[in-house]
Order: sequence, then structure tokens, then C-alpha cells
Amino acid sequence: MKKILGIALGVVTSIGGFLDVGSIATSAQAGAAFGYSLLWAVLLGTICVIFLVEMSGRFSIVSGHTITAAVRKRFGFAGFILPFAAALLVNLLVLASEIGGVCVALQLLTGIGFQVWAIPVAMALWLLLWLATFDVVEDGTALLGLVTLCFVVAVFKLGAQPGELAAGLVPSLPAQERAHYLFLAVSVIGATIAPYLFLFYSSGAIEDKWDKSWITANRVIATSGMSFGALIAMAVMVVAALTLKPQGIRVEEYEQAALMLVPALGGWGFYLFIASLAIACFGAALELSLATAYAAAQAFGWNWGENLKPRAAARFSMTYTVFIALSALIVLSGLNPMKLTLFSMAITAVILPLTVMPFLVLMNDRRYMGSHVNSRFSNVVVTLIVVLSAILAIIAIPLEIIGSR
Amino acid sequence: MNDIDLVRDILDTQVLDREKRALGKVDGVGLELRDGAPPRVAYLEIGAVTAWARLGPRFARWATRLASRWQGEAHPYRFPWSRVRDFGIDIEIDADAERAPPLDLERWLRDKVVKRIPGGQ
Amino acid sequence: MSRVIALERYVGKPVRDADGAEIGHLHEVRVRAEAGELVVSEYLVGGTGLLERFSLAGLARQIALVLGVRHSAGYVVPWDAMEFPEDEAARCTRRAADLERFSAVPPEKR
Repeated sequence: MKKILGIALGVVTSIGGFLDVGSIATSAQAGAAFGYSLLWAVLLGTICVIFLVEMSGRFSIVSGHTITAAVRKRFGFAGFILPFAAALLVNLLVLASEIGGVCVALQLLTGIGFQVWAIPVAMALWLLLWLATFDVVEDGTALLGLVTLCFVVAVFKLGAQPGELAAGLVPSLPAQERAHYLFLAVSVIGATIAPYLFLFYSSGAIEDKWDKSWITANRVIATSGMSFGALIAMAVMVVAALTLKPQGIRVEEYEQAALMLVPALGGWGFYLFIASLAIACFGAALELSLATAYAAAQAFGWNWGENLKPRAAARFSMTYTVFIALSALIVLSGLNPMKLTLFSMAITAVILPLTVMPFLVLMNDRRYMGSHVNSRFSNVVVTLIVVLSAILAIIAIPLEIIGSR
Repeated sequence: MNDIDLVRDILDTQVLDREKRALGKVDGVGLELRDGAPPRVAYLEIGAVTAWARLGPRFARWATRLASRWQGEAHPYRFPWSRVRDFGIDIEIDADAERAPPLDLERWLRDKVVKRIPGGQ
Repeated sequence: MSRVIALERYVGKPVRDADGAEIGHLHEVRVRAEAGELVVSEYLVGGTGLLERFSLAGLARQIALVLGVRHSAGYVVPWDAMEFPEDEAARCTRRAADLERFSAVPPEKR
């Protein structure tokens, strides 16, 4: 019974945690510019993420290590330090984007400029991590994150045609604006396969003390949670396609996306958009801050754990404190939040190979995985993900330059 | 079980104290080369300088300079194999994290920073 | 007369044989417990079948291994055939041809 409850909670957490500023921004842009035709990017990204999340859970369950600790142990300090530094830098930018997302939501609500909100939001973020436990953070944001289901409701209300939606699930190139299309495809996939997601998941498995009896539960949570989450991301794209595209509204700023729920849900739609943006971003910001502190602590061997009071894990707590402070500074600098988001999604795609390649080695190492090593099928999938991420990494930056107009 | 692989099982492995608190990772291994006898493991070493030095001589100099401004880290923490009580996923040693040097920074942060912030007590 | 070396600085770095040829990277040091101490039995150098901890090239070879590509053999260097000069690469005192080879992944210990 407890296992079923655990699975349900895990699934809800994954749904609520799936959407973040990157998914919202890229899906909204994609829907507004190209209708349904980028749905396949969400699908592809989700399939990859399901495999990666399931593997990271299985890895932590069987080996008793978190991924970061295992990467250091397996590849040595010298071998892991570069991917680690790259991941830290990217995380900083993504966190700034998430905080920016919350600030923009507050700007939409109150009319007060987003920069003003940077410090209050950062303080709220920090306070929650400082005082709360892992369960409160995870479960709280998960439940609140369900507000994003309003996008799914809107899809039904707008009467989207399943046949047309299905067509979008097949990759195709448009006649015009190919660079922009490909750029958005890369960004959508980068927004979906966020490395912090599965690194956080791996740490969560250890925090929640998952043992081998959780192997099947892990598979269920990874698959259902990520699938349902993906449906919400797709819903954002569909709603944008149905409400923004016909008006010719290109989502260059969050303000342009803010009204996308109004046709389906009336006046409430505006507030639901704001709530979805704020909550999804805040939840992601919490996860990201924790994920970074986890990574540093697990890499260097410090005491770590959100369930520990700050005084019991001083370096761990100070890491997320400093990290949040730095991100807040980036938001304060006034950089356009939408541009920052798209840039950080492209950068995420660039370092993806560095984060996924160790998986291939670790998941086949019997010293860590015992009899639970990857099947040949899983290996093929991860290899394809590595190849895909390498392609994305190579084309992301040129496309960013050409295609983000 | 008599055979151990140093690189696979010991280097970069998490070290815990008696109470299973984290002391750090095995950043280095001191090997004593002897005439006419096989080299023996003199000590295992925990230290940020030790870890960074593995990247190359330039990093070693830079790390030592930074660490000498922080007293504790200039002298890496060393312990012999005899202090190891258990060894599997992590290495548990006979030590007290409260008094061990690798946690100087941890203790300093705790006493000077964390405890001064509300909620950190 | 004895001296203590920082072993970690030689791990993952190249090893030369008596002729000066590079025979691979030092990626494992096998020790055994003897009267409460750990003493070295042998060093493992080179070969794609085992850890090439350091380089991304090693990672690529690991991927090739995972996909089923055949791997080449490495060398076993006994404890009395390895020198660790100061600030230089580790050196084997025998020639590559005189060294024992290994190719299989070692049996699981735990």
C-alpha cells in the first residue's frame, strides 16, 4: 500500500515538476510560430527523458550511489571536473531563467517591473530551502504544480482535432523559416531533456532511501510521470497554436503569451497563466538550486541532504545560498527574460552529450549495477540519445545565432 | 577477500567517520616505495589541494597557494589503512568528523555564517 | 631507503616501457592485504577492456566496448618492474614484449 502511495506521489511530483520556464517559453513560441508541427520535438525529448530518468533511478537504487558521486569515482577527479564545471555554469543560467519566470509572472500580475521582484523571489526561494525538508519541498511544489493542468483543460475546450495533432507528432520541415524552426526544435528538446532533472531524481532516490523493491515503482514513476508532464508541455504548444498563431502573435515576450488561455477559460485564463508560470518556475528553481548543491556536495564528499538542518550541512546549504544569490544578480541585471531562457535552453543542449555519455558507461558497469545492467536495447537507446545530443550540441549555437530572429 | 583495486575501489571514494558523517573523498594515495619489498600504501589522503593537483603541476601550484591562506587545507588529512573499519560503497574510518581537519571549512561556515542566520541554529 | 609518492598523480597518465615506448595509461593498482597493510602486487596499464579513467578518448572506447566492438589487450606490470620518477611519467623497467597481457574484464569482487 505504501508503495502505491509512493508511486502516486512520485508520478504527481514528476508531472508537477515537468513544466518549467524552458518548456513554457519554447512550447509557446513553437506553437505560435509553427502550430502543431513541433509536437514531435516534445515527444522525442520525452522519450529520451523517460529512459534517462528511469536509468538514474535504477542506478541509485542498485548502486547506492548518486550519479555525480559515481561519475567522480568511476572517471576520477580529473575526468569529471570539466563536465561538472560546464553543468554548474549552465545551471546558473537556467536558474536565472526560472527566477526570471517567476518575476515576469509577478510583473504580469502587478504591473511592477520584473527586476524589482528578483530579490524577493530569491529570498522566498532561499527561505523555503533553508527551513523546510525535502518532502515538503518536493510534495508541496508537486501539488501546486498541478495548476498547469489548466492548459490541458484549455485544449479540450478549444476543440483541438486529434487528427491534426497526430500529424504534428511526425517530424517535418516547413517551407519557410527553416532556421528558426530548427532552432526551436533544438530548444524544445533542450528544454525537455534537462540534466538537472535526472541528477535531482537520482539524489531524490537516495534521500527517499529507495531500495531494490522500488525498481518497478521507479519504472512506473519515470514513465507515467514524464509522459503526463509531456502532455502538459504539448498542451501549451497546442493552445498557443490555436489562440496565438491565428492572430499572428509571435511570442517574443512573455506578455504576448499571457493571454493564450483566455479564449478557452475566459478572464480566469489570464490568472491561470500567471499562476502556472509562477508555480512551475518556482518549483523548478527549488529543484535546480538543490540539484546544484547536491552535485557539489556529492562531487567533493561533503555532508548533504535537504532533510538535514543547515548547520549539519554547512557547505551544502551555503552552496545553494550563494548560487541563488548569483542567479538573482543575473535577473537584476535586466537581461530580457525570454532571451535568457532561450539561450540557456540552447546551452543545455550543448552540454547534454557530456552529461549523458557517462550514463552509457555507468549503466553497464557491473560493479555498480550488478545484474541490473542495461539490456542491449537500453544501450542502443542511450547511444542514440548520445548521438542526438551531440548533433544538437553542434547545431545549437549556429542556429541560436541565425534562427533566433 | 584479499585483493583490492586501488583506483577502482579506493581512489575518489567517499570517506565517512564513526557516525557515518562525511569526511570527504579519497583524493590521493601515498605509496611507499621500498628497496627489495613491494610498495605499500602508507596512507590515504583527503584534501582539496591533493585533488586539484591531479589535473597537472600548474593546478597544483595554484591550489597550494590558495590553500595556504586557509590553514586547514594546506596540510591534507592523512590516515593509514589500519584506521579503516569498513569498506564497500563508502570507506568508514575510525575518526571523529567533529575534530578532523577536512571539516575545518564546514565547521567555520557553521559557526561563523550558518549559525548567525535565523533558522540556522 | 624508501620514499613516498603521490600515487594519484600517476594514475591515468602514460607509462613507458624500458625502450621508452608508451604502452598505455596506468589505470589500476592491484594490492593485497598483508598483516593489516596493503601491498602492491601489480599494475595494469593500457587496454580498452578496463577503465581508461581519464580521457574522453577512453570514454569513446568504452562506448565501443559496450556496443560489442572487440577490445585490445593491456599489460600487467609486476610490482618490481615499475618506477615512479619525480615529475615524470611512470616507467616500466621491462620491455613491452616481456610483459604479461590481459584482455578480460577482471572477475567481480563484490
